[in-house]
Amino acid sequence: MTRKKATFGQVLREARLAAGFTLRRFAAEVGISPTYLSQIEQDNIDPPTAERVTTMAERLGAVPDEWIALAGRLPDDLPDIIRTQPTAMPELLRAANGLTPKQLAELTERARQLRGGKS
Amino acid sequence: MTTPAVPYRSDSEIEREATQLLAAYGREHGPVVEPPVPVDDLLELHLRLTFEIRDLRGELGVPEAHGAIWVRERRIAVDRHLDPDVYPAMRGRFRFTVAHEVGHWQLHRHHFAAPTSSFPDFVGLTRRGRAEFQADRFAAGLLMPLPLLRVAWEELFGCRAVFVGRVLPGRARPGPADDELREVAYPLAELFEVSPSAMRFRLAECGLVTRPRGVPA
Repeated sequence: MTRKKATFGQVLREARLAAGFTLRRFAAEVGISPTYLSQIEQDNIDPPTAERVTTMAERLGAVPDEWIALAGRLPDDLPDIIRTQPTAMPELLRAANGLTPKQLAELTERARQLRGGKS
Repeated sequence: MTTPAVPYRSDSEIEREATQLLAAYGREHGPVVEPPVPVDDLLELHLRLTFEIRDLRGELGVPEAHGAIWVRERRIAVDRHLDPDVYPAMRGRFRFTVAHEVGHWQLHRHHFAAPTSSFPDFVGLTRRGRAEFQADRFAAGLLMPLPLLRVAWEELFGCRAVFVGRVLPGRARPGPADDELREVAYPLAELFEVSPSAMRFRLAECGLVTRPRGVPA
């Protein structure tokens, strides 16, 4: 039997409680209303923007990019990165599409080496 | 929806349940030594119940609903019109509703054997029954614990003497005594983050304000 994948709302709620935040306290921490946060946790509305998801993940010690993916959002910096090289970047992404996580990690590492170790 | 019949519980028994829950919370998270009682923490971090703020009135089609509990799902919801961060004037009502639903959980959760239904087991309504009164009594005991109330009373008013009012809360008619009562209840209500009417009722209930002899109820 396959386990149903947890939603963004469920992951957020579990992480919030594990970090010892009540609904109201965490809402205040990230600058939104408790009602809005509760709606997000119930998956009644679309997840918030990538920027807000990043803030939430950072406050709860989670990996922002993982939460952004779970929320079905794209990191805010990606459109600009693609726009800098509008032909080569999409081509690179298409070429990398279908690689295994291990192969992607190797490719990322190689790209970092080419850039002189910058992340 | 059918609300289950619940057995009679005396006021002192309900008060004891609230005190015990607060003590259990204190053992896990540190004792509550001053108001306000952290009722959100108690619900989510101690009892580990799911807490939601929803459009209860719209979803249930019950215009006067302010709180609800789904016992088997271990879930409590408060209507979004009580969100104190959106409607600050609702803070007292919000906290009392949370405490009231916690009261249902503590006092009544074992009275449910029916299969799961999407409708909540209890909805906070203006139509009152024994279960609702008991949950209210529990909420008052939880949010305004007697030891904390007595200390706050003493700090504010300097002595243990009871305030003598002419009219009891709940039967209030405008008059000088009522004004005095309001003056007494407001600062305490602010301190305990409850509504002034809840505080007035509690003060009368625990004998901190009384009616002088010979004054009819």
